[in-house]
This record gives sequence, C-alpha cells and structure tokens, in this order.
Amino acid sequence: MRTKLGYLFIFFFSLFTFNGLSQNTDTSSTNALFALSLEDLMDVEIVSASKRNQNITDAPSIVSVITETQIRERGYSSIAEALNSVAGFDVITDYYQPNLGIRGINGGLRSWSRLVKVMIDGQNVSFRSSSDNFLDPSLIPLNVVEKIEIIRGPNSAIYGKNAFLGVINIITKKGSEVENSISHFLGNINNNTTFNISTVWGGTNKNLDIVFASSYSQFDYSGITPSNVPGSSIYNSNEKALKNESNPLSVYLKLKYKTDSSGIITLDFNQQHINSTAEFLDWGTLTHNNRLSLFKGYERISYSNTFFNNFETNLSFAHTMGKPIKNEILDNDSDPTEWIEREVSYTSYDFGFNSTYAFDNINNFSFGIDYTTDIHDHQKFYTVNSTGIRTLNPGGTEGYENFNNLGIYMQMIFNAAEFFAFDYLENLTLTAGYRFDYHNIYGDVLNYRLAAVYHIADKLSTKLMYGTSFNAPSSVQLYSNYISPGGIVGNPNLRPERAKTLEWALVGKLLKDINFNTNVYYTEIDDKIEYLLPYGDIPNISAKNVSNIYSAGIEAELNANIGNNTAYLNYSYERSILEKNDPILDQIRIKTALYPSHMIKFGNILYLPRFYSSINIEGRYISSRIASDQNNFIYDPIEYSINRYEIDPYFILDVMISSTDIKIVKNSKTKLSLKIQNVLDTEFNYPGFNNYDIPGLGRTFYFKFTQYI
Amino acid sequence: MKKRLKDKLILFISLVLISTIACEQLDEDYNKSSFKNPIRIGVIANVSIGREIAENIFFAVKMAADEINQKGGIDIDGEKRKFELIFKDSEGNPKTGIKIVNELIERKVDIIIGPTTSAVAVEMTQLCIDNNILMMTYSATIPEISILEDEDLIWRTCPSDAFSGRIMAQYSIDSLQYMNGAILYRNDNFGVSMANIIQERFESLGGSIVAKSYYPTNGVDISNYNYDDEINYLLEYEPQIIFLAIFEEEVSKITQDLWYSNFYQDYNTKPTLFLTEGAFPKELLSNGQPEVLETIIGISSSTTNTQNYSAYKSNYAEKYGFDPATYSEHAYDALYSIAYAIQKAQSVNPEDLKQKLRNVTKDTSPNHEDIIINVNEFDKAIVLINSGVEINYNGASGKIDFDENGDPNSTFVIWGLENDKYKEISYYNR
Repeated sequence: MRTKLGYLFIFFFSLFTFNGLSQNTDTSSTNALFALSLEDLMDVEIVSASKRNQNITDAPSIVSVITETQIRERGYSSIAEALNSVAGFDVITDYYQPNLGIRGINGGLRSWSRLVKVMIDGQNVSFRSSSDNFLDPSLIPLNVVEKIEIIRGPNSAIYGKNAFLGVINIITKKGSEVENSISHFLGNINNNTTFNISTVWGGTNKNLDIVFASSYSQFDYSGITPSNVPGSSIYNSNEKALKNESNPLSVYLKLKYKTDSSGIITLDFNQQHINSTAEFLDWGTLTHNNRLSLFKGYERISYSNTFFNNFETNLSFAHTMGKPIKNEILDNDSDPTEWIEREVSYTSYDFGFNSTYAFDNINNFSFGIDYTTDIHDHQKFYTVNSTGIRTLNPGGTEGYENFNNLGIYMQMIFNAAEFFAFDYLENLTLTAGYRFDYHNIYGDVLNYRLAAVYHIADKLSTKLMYGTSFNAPSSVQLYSNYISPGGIVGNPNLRPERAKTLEWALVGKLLKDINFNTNVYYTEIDDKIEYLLPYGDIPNISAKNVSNIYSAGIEAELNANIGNNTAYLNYSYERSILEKNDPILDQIRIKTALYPSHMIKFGNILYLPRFYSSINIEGRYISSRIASDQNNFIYDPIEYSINRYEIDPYFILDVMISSTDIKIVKNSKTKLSLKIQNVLDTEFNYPGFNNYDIPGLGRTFYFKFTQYI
Repeated sequence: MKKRLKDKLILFISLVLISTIACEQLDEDYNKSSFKNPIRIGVIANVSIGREIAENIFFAVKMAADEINQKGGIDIDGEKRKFELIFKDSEGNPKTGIKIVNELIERKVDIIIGPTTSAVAVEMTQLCIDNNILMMTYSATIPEISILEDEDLIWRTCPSDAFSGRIMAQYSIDSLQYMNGAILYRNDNFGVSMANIIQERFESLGGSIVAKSYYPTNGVDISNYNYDDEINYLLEYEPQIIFLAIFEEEVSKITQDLWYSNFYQDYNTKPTLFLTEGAFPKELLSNGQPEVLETIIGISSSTTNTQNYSAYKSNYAEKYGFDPATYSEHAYDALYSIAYAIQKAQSVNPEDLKQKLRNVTKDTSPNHEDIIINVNEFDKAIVLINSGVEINYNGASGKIDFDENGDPNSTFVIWGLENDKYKEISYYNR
C-alpha cells in the first residue's frame, strides 16, 4: 500500500512540475489565483442571523462562515464534512447519514442532524416526516454553494420550529458567479472504489440569471466490522459489512429575473435522492439486504422588492415533498422469507411574507408571517412474506393528517443611543425579536431573542445574547409503528423540546491578518425527547419528553493569513449535564452521552506558487465520549444510567495536494487534486446504538479532476 | 480611559453572569444512597427476557424498600436498620447466576430475592444453602424447588408450575371442552417441566396431546427466531388448543409466525392459545399479531381484582408513572414478608427467620386471632408485632400463607384479551 501511495505522489508532483514549466507563468499572477483564499472572514456578509445583511462582528448571533473557496481548497465532499471543521460541531455517522451534534448534545438514536435547522437560501430542507437533515452529498451539489452560514444558538424567534440549537443556511451562487465546470473524483475506501461526478453551469442574459448544478456519487464503505461493546463478543472479526454503499444524487436549479422597476422574481428547485444499503443502523445490522431509498425536494417561487428606498418586501411560496422510493427494502433479520416495507411521506406548502422598514443603515423594523401545511402520511411498517402478503405491523395508522403551523414574528434592530441619552451607547446595537407559532398538533409556542452588540473598535465587538427556541416533535416520533417487535414506536403525547440560551462573544481582529471569534454559552433544555429503552409497561423503544439538559461551554476560532498560509484553529470545550428520573436511582444528573468534551480542529493551506500547487492539511482531535444509552445497557444492564463506558479519543489528519488552474484542454483550465483522509490510518469508533459501536474509516484516497468549460 | 473601563466591566459582568448560572447546574449526581448498618438484600432478575420485565421486579422491591426506609426501617434491638438493595442481572444463565451469588456473598448480603427463571434458581439454590443465605424467588415456578433438601432456606412467593399446569389442563377440558391439544415449549428446565405437567394432567382427564414441539433457547435470538417449523408441525395435527410454555420475549413473534402460517389460515376455527404464567398481556397488546389476540388465554397467579393489588398498583403507578407488570407484586411481597419476619425475629439470621416467615404470612394462632395486614399497613404491622400480636400479611399478590416447602398458597386467574383489553375470566384456588 505504501509503495502505491509513493507512486501516486510522484505522478502527481510530476504532473504539476511539468505543467508549471510549460505554462511559464509569473509568480505574481499565480498569487492572484489564490486571492479569494485571503478574503477577510470579518468582511463576509451574512444574512441568516437576522434576515438582514450584516457582517460577522455586527450580527446578533454566534456566526461562522465557510466560503466556497474554503470548500474547494479543503476538498470537502459534503456539507457535513465542511461543518465538521467548525468549533462546537461534532459529526458522527452510521454510513447512512451523518449525524450532527452541537454544543454538547447529540440527537442520539435515529436522529440525523435534527437539532439544527438546515436551509438552502432560507428554505427549510429537512425530511419533514422525521425532521432529519441529510447532510451527505445528496443535500446540494457543493459547486453551487457560495457560502455556508452557521449560527450556533437559538433562532426560533425568527425561523420558528427546529431552529433549536443552531441554523445552517446554505447560500447559493448566482449564475453570473459560477465557473462552468465538470468534476469527477475517483477514490479508494477500504479497497473499494468510490466516485463522484458533478457539474455546474450558470450564466446571465440581460435580466435573467440561471444556475444549474448536479452531483452523483457512489461511496462504498464495505469491509468494516462492528466494534463490540466492552465485555461483549457479539460480533467477531469475520462479520463484515458486505454491502455498505451510498449513492447520493442531488440536482439544483435557480432562475432569477431582475428588473429595477419590478424587483426580483426567483424560481429555485432542489431534488435529493438517498440510496443507501446501510449495514450499521440500529436494526438490521449486517443483514446485507437493506436498501434505504428516499426522495425529497422543493420548488419555490419568491419575489422581493424594495419600495420607497427603505421598505424591503419578500414573498415566497414553496412546495416540498419527500417519500421513500419504490426499491426500498428494510431487512431486519436473517430470515430471507420476510422483509419490511415502509410507507411515509409528506407534501408541504410553505407560504412566507416578510418586510423590513429601514430607518437608516442600523435601525430597522421587520415583520413576517408564514403558514405551512404539511400533509403527512405517517410512517408505518409492513411485514411482507415470500408469497407477497403485506401485513401492517401493529400500531400503524393509515391515512393522511395535516400538520398546520402559523408563525408571526417581529424584530427590531436599533442603536441604543437613539433611545437613551448616553453618548457611550452610540456603539451599542440592540436586537429584540419575538415569534409566535400556532400548531394544530402541539399548540402554541412563543419564542424571543434579545441581543446587545457593542463595538469596542473597528472590527472588534462584544455581544451578549439571550434567546429561546424549540424543536417540534416529528410525525415519526409521534405516530410511527415498529419495524419488528420491541422496536421503536411513536408517542402521540410528545411535547416540543424547549431551549433557552445565554451567550457572550468577543469577535474581531487581533492583528491585520488574524481574526478570532470566541464565545461562552449556557443552554438549558427542557422536555428533551429521548428514545427510551423498553421500560415500565411499554415493551418497545419509545420517544418521551424525559430529561432536562444543562450545557455550558466555550468555543474559540482563530483564522490567520501568514505568508503563503491560510490557517484556522478551533477549540471547543463543553460540559453538559442531563437530568432525568431514573426509577432505581430517582433523580440523577449525569454527563450527556455521545458528545466529546474537547475538540481541537485545525487546518492550513500552504500555497506553493512555484509549483503551481497548494497543500492543505487538516486535523481534528476528538476527546473521549460516553457511549449511547442503548450500548451502555449492554455494558451494564442494571446501572446503565451511571456505569457507562467511554469511546476512545482519536486524532485524524487529512492531507490534500491541489494544483492551481492548469491547462490540459485548450482555452480552458483544469484543476487536479489528491486528498488522503485519515493519513495516519487511525483506528477509531463512532457511537453506535445496537450492541456495537461503528468503526471509522481508515486511510482513504480521492483523486479529483475538475475541467472548467 | 473611562470607556475602556466600561468595556472591561461589561465583559467581566457578562462572564460572571454566565459562569455563575452555569456552574450550579453542571455537577453530576448519581443519587446513590448509603445507610448505616443496613440490611443488605440482593435482588436478582433476568434482563435478557425483557428489560422492562426485569425492571418491574427491581422497581417493586425498591418501592417496598423505600416505603419501609421512609418510615425509619426495621427496629432491631432499638437500632433502626434500613434496607440497602443490590441489583444484579442473571442474564438467564445459570453460570452467571452462580457468579452473581458469589458477588453478593462477597458484598455481605443478608438475603437474596430472586432469581427470575427456574434454570438459574435451581443452580443458585445449592450455593445459597452452602452459605446459609435465605433465598426467595418471585417467579421461578419449577416444581423441583418445592422438594429440595434446602434446610428451609429456599422460598418463593410465586406458586409452583405443578399447580398452574394442572389448572390449565383442567380448565381446558372442564370449561372449554377441548379434548385434543398440542404443546409448544421452550427447551429449558421450565419449558420441559411445564409441558410434562400439562400433558400428564390433560391426558389423565381424558384428553389427548396430539403433538409436542420445542424450540432452542441457547444460541438463538429468541425474539426473532423463525418458529414456522415448530408451529406448522403442531398445526398439522389440528389441535383445538395449543399450550404455550414460553416467555414474554418470544410471544409476539410466535403470534406473527402463526398468522403467516398457511396451515393456520386454512383453519375454519382457529385453535385457542393457552399461555403459561408470564408478563404477556401488555407485550401482546403492543407487539402481538392483532388478528391472533382474541384466541389467546393465559393463567396468572396474580389476581388483580383485590383491594391489595389495587392499592399496590396505585402506589406503583404514582411512583413510576406506569402500571406494574406480572410478578412484580410477588417481588414486592417477598420484601415485605422478609421485613415482617425480621421485625418479629429481631434478627436477620436465616435460622431465626425461617419459622417467622410462616408466622407473619398465615393465620397461625389456634383461635384464628391473627390480624390481617394489608398493603399500606406497615405502621400497623410493626406496632402489632412489637406488641406480641400475631399478624397475617396478605400481600399485593394475594394470600401468601407459606407452606412447609416455602411455597405460597396462591389463587390463580384465567385471563383473556377482549377488544384489546385484559380481562379476568375465571379464578382457581391452588
């Protein structure tokens, strides 16, 4: 293997060297090629914190941004991979979907990133039946992403439900900004071939701006073996995943028509296909016959205009839907004569209106109203036998049910000196937001947010923020029947999870080329929903509002441009306590499971203009974390609440070598890159939920070729 | 300068505010109790048959211990001693049972409540006898336990299968008028013993067991096992009733496999399924094949139509938020029987407790003057015992009345499922 790796390096460097000599390009112009990498993150405008354009130091939230330059130069292949570089985010996986944990809390069993709200240009893109967010490459073709705006902390005062512990808003490029290209990567994961092909095309003609992108991948994670819970020997080393593939497909289209007189009309469209032979789910582990196939997507038309120079108005209508695709098969046991099929779907209509009256550059007042109808066909599983008889498993309900939500919000941003006669308040900007949601299933929810941003100096500010948020119980959590006896069933009595967060931040520049973003936070969550193991008179795993969580931590980010280097360094520490009533021990307070206390993440791109290339190194240290409740029950069936094992800490190092724009095809440019993930071949595990933990991948290789057209 | 000071002040106040609120809430607390000179009770259950079943046992014993401890505990020679419980999982494995009994002996337990299953109980008994540990099981029903040479150290609050098996056979013939039956049973101590008792009694009453079939319990995932072969074999003989000597973990899958059997679908009148004792109703209503449920009946030694059971159920539901499962009341009664015996004996020594256990659970006075003690009457019982008055504890599971073998004199109930609800059909005395 080492010899192969060496040959690959030699080939790659030879290619760069040869190409560099033939082009005879001077160094100064090559430097210009990297200009985008040196942009100052403090100057990047973001919109997600208050639905107003603001830079990071002004925004009344804890904000991080990942730009398209960073995505490209670090070689990220999915939104999840990009988010894993951010302080306070922890991404684990079961090879079906990534599962994003945030600030000490992970959604746990069958939660795929449902603690945050994920949007594309403000449009909610969760799979609404379960509120899961699929952050794998099916979410959006990465080459159409302009930036990812990441807000840690509550945002239900603007975005309503599920903007619970954070918001991820993916901002797409305009057609005029897009470099038309076709990309292909070929990789080796555990001696299995993996590949991707993606395209992006955009352009502008008079008033019309168009962008189209698509991406299809095949990842093959076969050949890995579940890691037994300490003390158990359920799986031996010969029991491997034989068919652990994922084939995400994503398509995106946006048309924008703009005139000075009549405003902007935008039509955007996104489709996501998930097709995974998942072998490491909490059911059907290594049955080799699972195929989870889902489709989801949206079409939206929106209109925005500014009247009287200071009255901005936005109107949008979206249709979204999601459901399994016909080839889905759920095989939960070793009996080949029976399998499971499921029905679950939603069709939704989102109507939104918001307007902002800007008194001046700082002071403004916003008002918004939105109405959503989700028509749910609740999740239900059927057992199918070899003769084709299809029987609904007990507990399932057939038919459709509407989930209707009306939301109204108001927000005011103003300079404190406008109201109070103190000169030193001139640098203080206050934000007050309030949102009321009425839902026909779980009732009224009121959220608010208060923030004070004080400008200590130019590009240096401190922020104090307090806000509330909620996570709504999903249709699946409320009404699902089980896959097999003892499996997860819904609980129609669930209430929304509620959070309140106090945050303080210091953001700005230390030196000309170094900026930082640091914060401390304290979050309390009430009515946290957990999937409980069978207990009491309930013989199934079931969701219940069962615990409170108290979480505090510090997150620090440092970005620097030094010489030919662009670097980042993140550190996050959290301490989260889960309070619950254990029937044997009564009320106990224990550390939350699944989330590491310490994370250190760093990266550096070294530009080598003379060699027409750059080298990117990224690393992350993830400290130990407590295993899942489900696994701790195997570890200690009696005192699993308090006698728990920890999953070992690990350090992962990724290396990528990229070319600059070289010329292979006449009159167009080409980029090549080689990325090696986990170059140290570290052995590590992600938390699992069914008698085993999930092995991480060893050293993997990706060779990427991008041809600009 | 002043401005800088204010900036720093804002920063400082913010940090202090967040830190102060956070620190108070971020300490771990396992809430583990510790008592001075406690009475140590080992509580053993088998989590592998269903976590919720085992926990119901633990919860019931804990509730009894909490009730007694909250009232000061047991007064032994003027010293108030509280119950400290040590919970253990036998995994349904006799070897593990031996291991955890040794662990409990090392931890100096005075008494053991448990285990759940007969196979484990049989292996544990000799170790308890050798170490002079009093053991009281709440659900090991195998008849052999009654006839052990146990030096009066092995007790149980659940009745022997010898009684329940015979009643099942008798009810099938006398009340249901079925003359040909079949038996599906676990291939373990419990299943084999129960199948033999049912067959012997059924045939002695003139009936015929037309087929018997068993399935393995070792090395298979019992809740996902494919029961087609065993079920189809029995159905070929067209039994009117199938006796199921099984545990809760497999009952739902058996009902599903039965429903998918072509033989079963061909039956005009579906055979009745008769379940031995176990925590079946809730599991069946949640996970059983709905079309099969109304053909099911079962037997239980817990009669739920008594005031004592109602009181117990109410206390349990208030404490834990859900209703108790079968056998938990037997576990609850085990601790109370022991508590009253200790109070009466003024000792935790098994030698002193043996006869006292019978004294406090049956009417022993020649003139039948014993005062009946019901659930929720701990204070009254202590006063009476300390006054020298004989008591007769009638527990959550009903009359206990330990006999010379350490077996209870229980009442049985035949139950069924009607419109997705548990229903008691008929009652039998041992």
